[in-house]
Amino acid sequence: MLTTRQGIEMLNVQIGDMPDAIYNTAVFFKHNYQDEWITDDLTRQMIEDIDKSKVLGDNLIESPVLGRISPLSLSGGVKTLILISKVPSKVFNASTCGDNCARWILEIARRRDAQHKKTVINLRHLMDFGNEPFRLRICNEGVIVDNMGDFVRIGGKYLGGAE
Amino acid sequence: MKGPVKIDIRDRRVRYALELKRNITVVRGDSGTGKTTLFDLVRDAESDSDSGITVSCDHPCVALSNFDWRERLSKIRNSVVFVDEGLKDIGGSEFAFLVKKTGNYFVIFSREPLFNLPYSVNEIYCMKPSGKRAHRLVPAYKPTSKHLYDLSKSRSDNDYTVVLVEDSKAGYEFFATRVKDIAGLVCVSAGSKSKIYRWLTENERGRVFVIADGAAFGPEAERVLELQNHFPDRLSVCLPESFEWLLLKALFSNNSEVADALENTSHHVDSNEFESWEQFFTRLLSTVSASTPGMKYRKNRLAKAYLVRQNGDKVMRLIATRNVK
Repeated sequence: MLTTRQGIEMLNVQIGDMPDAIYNTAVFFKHNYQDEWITDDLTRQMIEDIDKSKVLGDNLIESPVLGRISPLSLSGGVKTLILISKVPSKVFNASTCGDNCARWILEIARRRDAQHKKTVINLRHLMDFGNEPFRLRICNEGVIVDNMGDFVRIGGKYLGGAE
Repeated sequence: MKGPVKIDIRDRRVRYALELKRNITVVRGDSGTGKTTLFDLVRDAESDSDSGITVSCDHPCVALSNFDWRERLSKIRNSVVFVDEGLKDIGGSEFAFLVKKTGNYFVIFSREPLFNLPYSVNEIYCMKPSGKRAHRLVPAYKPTSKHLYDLSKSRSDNDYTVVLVEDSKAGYEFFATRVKDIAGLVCVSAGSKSKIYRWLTENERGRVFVIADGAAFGPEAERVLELQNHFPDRLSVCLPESFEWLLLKALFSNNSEVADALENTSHHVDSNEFESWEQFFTRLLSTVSASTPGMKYRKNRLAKAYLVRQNGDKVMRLIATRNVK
């Protein structure tokens, strides 16, 4: 069951160009991440699920492909997830995340929503939030959607492209 | 540059085996599949000849990122250019201008649709990691028979009520003539490929058969095909290479030059001359049709010979579905 306080939706999505959003999340992560972020329980789960890798310590991750790596060699999607989770004051370009990150974006928003706080992301493509019920607000017009059909039908027009 | 380009990139831990068929290849898909690693390998191999990275390719492979991309790209020729998703200007007109002007082949990592670039729906890929074997690209969208792109497994058994075409000239003239005697079916022109999505969301009644030029439909593919995926009873999407391709295939493929161009298009299209295969097919059709009396192809006005029933039947056989025939 979703629990949302009236007026605060679980996930807020600004679709299309957003000048204030952090576009290059990999660069931002490189210069701003903190060691303790990596050993956080949620981060461990995300790294294991997305990158199929195991956190060994603050600055050490075991990757099945790359061997032992630093957090700087995590995938772009995982870096963005960590930033969305740890830097709520910024809006990040979540089009650096694949569809396999969508459930984690919803989870981050759910956890923050339990603290009556908003989660806002910028999307420049139609991320697939899956077939399970979800709830997000398309900030461009303040509409709330709870299924992918509506998200595509309403959100797609903000992707841009001169007609 | 012409022809398919094969690239093999490896270091001690990973290997990538790619084949690029056209001038613009877009790579997207799940996170954690090795896209960033590929870009890093290209960048490191380019910057250091002692990197320990092996790159096998008939053309130089270069990595383009945020810093000084304008100056670099304006000077690069005859190369495969890998473009990082962090390049903020990737969706801009300036970047698109240089992509078209420089004639290089491009591998662009982006989930964001790039509306300024004419890339094919067939050249959008996901990265498929494969353990100890080479990572490779797999198409994000695959056509079923008759050039239908059907993300949904379900499909309605009902007839169509609207044929929606992107074209407002020759293509529209052909399809409008074709369906005018089919009861309950009308042909509508969206006016351009980028207006198809808007038309579909503003006209939510009836069942729509969309016909658009796949060769340059890449930027529109996500939102239109996802509409089809979530509303499979409402629409089907048919993306042959282009209307000109349909005419070439149906009416001129007994010409050996045309047949070879259709079969091995990659070998015929010079990226320095054509931004997309769509442009190539238009030029080819214009050239070959000129020598057949009454068949000279013009985009603005279709010669009557193309509207003759027998010729129309040959074209429609390539895409006919239910009552659209």
